[in-house]
Amino acid sequence: MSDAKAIIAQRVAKELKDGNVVNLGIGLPTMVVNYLPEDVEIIFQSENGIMGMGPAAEEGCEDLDIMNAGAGYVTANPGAMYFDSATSFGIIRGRHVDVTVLGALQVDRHGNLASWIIPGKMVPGMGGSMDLVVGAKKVIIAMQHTQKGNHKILDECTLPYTAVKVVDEIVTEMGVMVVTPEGLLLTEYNPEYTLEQIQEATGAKLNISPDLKTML
Amino acid sequence: MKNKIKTADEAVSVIQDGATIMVGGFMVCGTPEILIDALVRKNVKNLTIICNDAGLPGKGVGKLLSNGQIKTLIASHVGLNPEVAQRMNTEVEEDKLECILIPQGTLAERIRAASTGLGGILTPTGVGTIVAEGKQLLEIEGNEYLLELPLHADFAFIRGTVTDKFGNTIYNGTTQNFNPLMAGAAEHVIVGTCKVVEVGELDPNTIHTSGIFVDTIVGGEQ
Repeated sequence: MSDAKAIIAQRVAKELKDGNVVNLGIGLPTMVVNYLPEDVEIIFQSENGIMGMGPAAEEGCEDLDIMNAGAGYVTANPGAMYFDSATSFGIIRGRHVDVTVLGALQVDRHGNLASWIIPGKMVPGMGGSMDLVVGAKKVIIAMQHTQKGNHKILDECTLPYTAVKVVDEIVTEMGVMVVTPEGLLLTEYNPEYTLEQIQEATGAKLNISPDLKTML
Repeated sequence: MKNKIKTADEAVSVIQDGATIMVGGFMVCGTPEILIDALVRKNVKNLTIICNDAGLPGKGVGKLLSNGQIKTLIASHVGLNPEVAQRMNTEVEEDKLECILIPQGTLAERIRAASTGLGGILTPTGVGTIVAEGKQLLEIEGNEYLLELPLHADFAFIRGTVTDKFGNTIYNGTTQNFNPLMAGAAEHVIVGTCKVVEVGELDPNTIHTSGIFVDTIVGGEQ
């Protein structure tokens, strides 16, 4: 299942439109940049204080003063701007970010998100995630469908929330699910799996879109 | 005018056990290592450190953590320094770390509130989560917000790229992050800077932090 992450990143890339201001979370979401069509120009924001972030710095050419939020050395595109953390989160909470793409521990059918703590086990902290999901116009969760066979997409999250009713869409290697008032709507699926397999890997009932398509 | 330039050891000599110190930087990018190193040498204990994160092992506030100087860490993300989890879970009482996690945007605004004389800020971030526990929830124009209070400190460690002898400071690239906010939120502000220049050499259009906020300047930051 090594290409699961590639499938997810490739599909998420299609969600980003020319001119969008986008913040990508650490890890899998960062891979999305590798699949953007050449005619689509995205303005990447990184919450540590840059608008117009460019690709990762080439080895040997790193500027130690220019980092992304994942502590990787990056570049600034022409037209970029640096700012302080209050300005950065003003941009985020102020609904000036069009799309944020984040990973998750759990997502539920109401669009509730849990991504920052497993009490007693793992307490990495929320970083900027709570602000991002509350402030971005569109919240996409990019993650593998299950964790070692355990459901991550649930009726109700069991872990502490990052935020409530904020997720718009979930993209996994199995399909694309949109959060609707009626619950989760499967709009696209990976034909490597049957609909029964996808439902079985999901801890909440999936409504099937009448316009169901294959992903990618 | 008062001479603000000191060595790193002179600069931190005023810091006592139990002090609350804000440290600029984001994953050590924009953290004044020269001041951290001096604080490690001074070896004051029971500190409350306010920083975006816990640095890395052997870098930034991670050095203070390894040296057992931090009693309470107020941060937004500590996952990239494994020593935090070890110290939070240790059975040895005197090594035990209290870690208070705050959403990053809220941390920035609470510091800014202290810096700018505000009684608090209202944010939608954290509503409906454990972050909201014990906090006042206000409904304004149909939306819910948490009241988050100002965050003050005794000292702030700021990292400048260029600083003039008055303290006017410019930050390069993404080293800015929390630095200009913290410069206004602490009683005593120490800048560790890469380059010190004469007053008048900096273009006033390009200065990020006014020298009025700065008490002490330490050159030699890398």
